[in-house]
Amino acid sequence: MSDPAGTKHSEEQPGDAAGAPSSKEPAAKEPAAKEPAVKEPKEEEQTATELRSLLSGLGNVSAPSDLSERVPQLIERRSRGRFFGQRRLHERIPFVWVSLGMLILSALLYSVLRMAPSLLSSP
Amino acid sequence: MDLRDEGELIRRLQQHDEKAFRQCVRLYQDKVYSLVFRMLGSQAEAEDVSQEVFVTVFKSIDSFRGDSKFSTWLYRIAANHCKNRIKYLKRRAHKQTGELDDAAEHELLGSSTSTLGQKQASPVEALEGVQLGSIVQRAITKLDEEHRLLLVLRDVEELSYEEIMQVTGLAEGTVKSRLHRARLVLKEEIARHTK
Repeated sequence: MSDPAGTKHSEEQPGDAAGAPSSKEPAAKEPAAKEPAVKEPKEEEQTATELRSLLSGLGNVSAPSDLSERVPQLIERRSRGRFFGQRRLHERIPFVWVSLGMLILSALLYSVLRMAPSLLSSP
Repeated sequence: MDLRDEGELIRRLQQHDEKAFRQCVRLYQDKVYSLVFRMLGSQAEAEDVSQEVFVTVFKSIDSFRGDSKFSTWLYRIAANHCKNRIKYLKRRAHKQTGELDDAAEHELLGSSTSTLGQKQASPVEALEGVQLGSIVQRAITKLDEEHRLLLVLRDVEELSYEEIMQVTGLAEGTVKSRLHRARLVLKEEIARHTK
């Protein structure tokens, strides 16, 4: 794999290091300065290749199979049933109101039945 | 998944469609879990954080404008969660860095036998694979979170530099130089562990 920015970074260091003492001997400096510049990218490339093969060899781990079940449940719990509520019918019905309604209905029916003979006989 | 399908999935996610959400989790759970597991090195933490990632996706899907790929956006959320969890664990002085839990070792056994043994790995090869896998995973968890993230995104998940830039918000040069540094540190760590 090529790593241009990384290469530049590593090339600068040997160049700088070789640059300071070489100011007196420009002729002798050139090959010494070039040598690491040629070696470094190769080393770096080798490191990158080695590590990439090592890391890609780790492979992908798979998520637990029930993750797609757990996440909606978590959202439902946190949203208090506002999202992804999978409650059954008997869980959705507000029983207090249903009971109250039934009581009112019974009372009405009772009163109608009580009044029924008088209603029938009145005219 | 092609772009039209992805667009449709996102549209349905934005309507809080449960079926679409379940499909989204099924589609991306391995990618997310793999990244989180490599970042944290613990199965329990990885499961917990992966769930949180998808909860965040659900909560913030309205803010997804489609400037980047959905998977890139998802990786960004996962990366942020991982960084936060690493910081949290550090604060709690969790003994996570040096030790992989049993479940993680088991996970590594599964992954390394499946990848190393393309034919049929012998028990010795499998064991070597596990040891190597566990050494590499340990070495990864020794890196600081920024280096860890870049290394996992590039060398494990094999994302392009463009995608890594979108996930991390870093410039290309910064990504490359930090990646280079991360590789050097990882190499040193692995060498130290194998000695």
